[in-house]
Amino acid sequence: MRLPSIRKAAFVIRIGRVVHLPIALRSSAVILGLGLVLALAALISLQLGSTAISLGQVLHWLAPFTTTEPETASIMRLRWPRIAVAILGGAMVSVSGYLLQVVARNGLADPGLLGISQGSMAAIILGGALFGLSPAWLAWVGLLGGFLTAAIVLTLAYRLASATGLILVGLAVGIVLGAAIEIVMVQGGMLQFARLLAWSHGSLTAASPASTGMMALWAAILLPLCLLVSGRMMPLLLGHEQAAGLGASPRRLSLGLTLLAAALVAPVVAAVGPISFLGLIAGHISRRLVGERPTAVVPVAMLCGALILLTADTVGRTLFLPVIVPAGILVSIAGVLTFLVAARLSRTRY
Amino acid sequence: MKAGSGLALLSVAVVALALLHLMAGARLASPGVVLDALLNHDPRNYQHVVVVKQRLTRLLVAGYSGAVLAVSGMLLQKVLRNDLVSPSTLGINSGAVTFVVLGIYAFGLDGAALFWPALLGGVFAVAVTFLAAGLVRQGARDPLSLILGGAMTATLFSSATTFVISIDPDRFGKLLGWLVGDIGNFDYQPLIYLWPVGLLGIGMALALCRPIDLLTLGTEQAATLGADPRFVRGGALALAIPLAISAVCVVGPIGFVGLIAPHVARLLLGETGRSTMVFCALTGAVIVIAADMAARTLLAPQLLQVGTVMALCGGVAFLAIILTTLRRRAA
Amino acid sequence: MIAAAPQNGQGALALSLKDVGFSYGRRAVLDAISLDFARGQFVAVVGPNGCGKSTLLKVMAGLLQPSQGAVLVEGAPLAGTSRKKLARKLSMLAQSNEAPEGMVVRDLVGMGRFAHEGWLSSGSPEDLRHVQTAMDIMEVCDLAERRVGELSGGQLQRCRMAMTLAQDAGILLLDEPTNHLDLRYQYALLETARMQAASGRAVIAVLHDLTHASLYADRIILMAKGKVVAEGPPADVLTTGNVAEVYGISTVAMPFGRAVVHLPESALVEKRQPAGERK
Repeated sequence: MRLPSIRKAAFVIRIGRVVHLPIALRSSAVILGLGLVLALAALISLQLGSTAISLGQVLHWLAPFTTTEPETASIMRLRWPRIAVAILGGAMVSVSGYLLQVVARNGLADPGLLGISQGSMAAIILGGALFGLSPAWLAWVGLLGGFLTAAIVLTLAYRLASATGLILVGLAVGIVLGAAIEIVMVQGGMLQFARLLAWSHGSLTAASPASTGMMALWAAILLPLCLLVSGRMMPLLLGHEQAAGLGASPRRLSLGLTLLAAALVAPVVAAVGPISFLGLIAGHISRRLVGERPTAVVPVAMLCGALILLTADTVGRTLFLPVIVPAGILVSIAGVLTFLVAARLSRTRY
Repeated sequence: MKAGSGLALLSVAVVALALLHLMAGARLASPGVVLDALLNHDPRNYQHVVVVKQRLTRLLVAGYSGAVLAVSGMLLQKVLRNDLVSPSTLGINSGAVTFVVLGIYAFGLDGAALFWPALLGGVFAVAVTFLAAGLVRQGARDPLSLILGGAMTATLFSSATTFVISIDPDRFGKLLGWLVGDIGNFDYQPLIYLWPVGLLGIGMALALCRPIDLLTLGTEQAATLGADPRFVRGGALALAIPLAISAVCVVGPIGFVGLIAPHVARLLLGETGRSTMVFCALTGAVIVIAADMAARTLLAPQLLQVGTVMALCGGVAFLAIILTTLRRRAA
Repeated sequence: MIAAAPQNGQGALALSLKDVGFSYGRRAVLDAISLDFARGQFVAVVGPNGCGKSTLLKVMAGLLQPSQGAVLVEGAPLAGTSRKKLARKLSMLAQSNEAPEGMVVRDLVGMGRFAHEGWLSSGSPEDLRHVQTAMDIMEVCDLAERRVGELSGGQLQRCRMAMTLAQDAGILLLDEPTNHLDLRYQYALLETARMQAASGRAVIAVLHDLTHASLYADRIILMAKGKVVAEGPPADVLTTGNVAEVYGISTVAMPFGRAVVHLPESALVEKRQPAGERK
């Protein structure tokens, strides 16, 4: 990771002596731009589908205190949860990936690559298949599974004294968990297996107002928390010893960030299944956009991730009609390709 | 361990395990019955039929795929000078699966004819892995980049596989077992056509063993010692991929035999030489036969897929290998 | 040039470069180099970092194709010779210290015999004899059953040198052979190189240390920026003028017998003032 350069802030939000927040011009411009693009993408994706709806009707439906034709309203009732889930899920997964990248000091970390998603998934499948838990509880079970996996992976890799080993350990743990999941899935018979196969690649078909509400609740707590924490993350980029020298407590901070990362992934896995590579790509792109400063990267990563997942889902459900491609598949295909191109570009630059 | 005694011991183990494999199952057959069924086969005796028609074919399929995948992994590890490489970690398996599914979907192929699309898929996947690894590489010798590239390739291809299956799920209903790696009752059909690939491949690997060993000293040193690095590397890859594919066609994408067997062989019999290669093939056979037995008996009467059992054990072994190699490097 | 009495091939032409040039992309690394190497001579190639000496060695070993000119090995052009045939005439100790950790030293040294083996024959009595002799020369017999992973860098370097000797080729190329070695084995290795030359081989080594080069080599090639600046007996090449031109430092040359020791002038000035206090 490159270290951030000190940029001069354009404006400073100041309230007495307690609040002193310098705002960099570039990152605020990027955030604003991405926000606009995301809003636009959401509008377009509300329009698209097996029944196309005109922009006017969409805006009419969105506008408060007006009544829409029942036909449009019912289609919208099917579409908006899916779009909301894509935006929330994308934001949560990509921030989770970025937090792990900071903790691991490795730009290749990602909840899917480190086995955390698989840990959540294994716990959720066990909880759902064996104990028949309700979706609201599944997120908690998933959080537990994800956090345990993250803890195992980090402890195993911690003693390796090599940041690169982390990914390999994560891959291996992910493979073991994947096999365990397969055993459970095969037990459930072939039909269920085929359905789970689609879920295991991240499909947003199952998005409902209920799961949207659940995710929104988690997101409303966790995402602001991430923004708050992002100010404290900078010293970690310098490595544990240096961070301690600067007055941070790297161990506690790493532990907290890992817990946060697992918590961000769990509800997404419970609602739509694991989405690999999104964290890796969103983190990479946003670091290219605004540099290494965590306060800027975290919001940009959220927006990037939301935009990528929303686009992938919209493309997946409209381009190949009548076949609906799970968004996770498109994310990993598009993601791997973007990532490779980005890696190529960044190499030629340095 | 001396090469001769090691090979002898392992051969005894293979025979014993094979006997055990023939005995085990829903109805336990005594060793006498097994021998009887093999030596003077009585087609009217139900137990004889079960032993020969079902268990023996399973045994042969398991042994063949294990040996072939192990040799393939050994070749790859030596030529790429990377202890973590194997047909599955390079993405060969998942590439083959994708192309097989495509072959079934687009051209309605089946049986041994699927070898060709699978081979194409394997070669394609290796190319993608090398490309991806080249892009993420940091520094000249970075063993991680190849594995990460392989993981990306595997994700890409398994996504593509799921996509093709989701187009027409009914058509692939009976394929689901194969997708996770399974040794069923009818798998011997492609093997009838594919066993020469394995035999020839292992034979060639033994012949090329010495120059391949030289390559472990680095390209330049190997060249000045008299081996043509490009020829040897190309030859080894040209052997390793078809070997792995011939196993994938029969039993599906079984991972990790190709990773673990070479490590076991090198640990016990030394880094180089033809006897290590033979030992590696036998070890691979033992591993898959044992995994098949475990899959059939562990959760009986429920059957598990051998690929799942392999992934479970293999993942743990992979973890152990990573932890030991990286710790040694750090020390 | 030393005109030694031609016995067991002494003085015969082993390797020659004719107007050899090499470039990585557009950057020229070697520029029109013509050199001859005779059997029975120990030649040291010296020069500052990045002057092209390692590239020169790789071109001579056929590892890199020259972009112009030709390399002749015992009179025959190197290009187009198969690696195995070439390896019987020419051996090289590469710089990389790579070897699988589980490999046993005896097997490592045995790899040197590859060029003399057939498809099905290996480990013939003659092979074993060469391996044993090479291990004796490099004093690694007591390491024979050890694994490479257990060796220190210096021990591994000596084992790799033994492997190169086991190859029994007429031309011996050494790329910074004293790497990883402690003082005793540095001199022992250079002594071995000299003995190999005396027994009728052409030995060509890239060396860093000018003192080592002048102590042991019969002839020194001084390179800078892809060109040969000077060549000949050590005393003629390692003059203060040449060293100043190539390395960009002024030195005091102190001859000790056949050796020339160069010490930096700046270190010999007795009264030095700290940089900050200089007015």
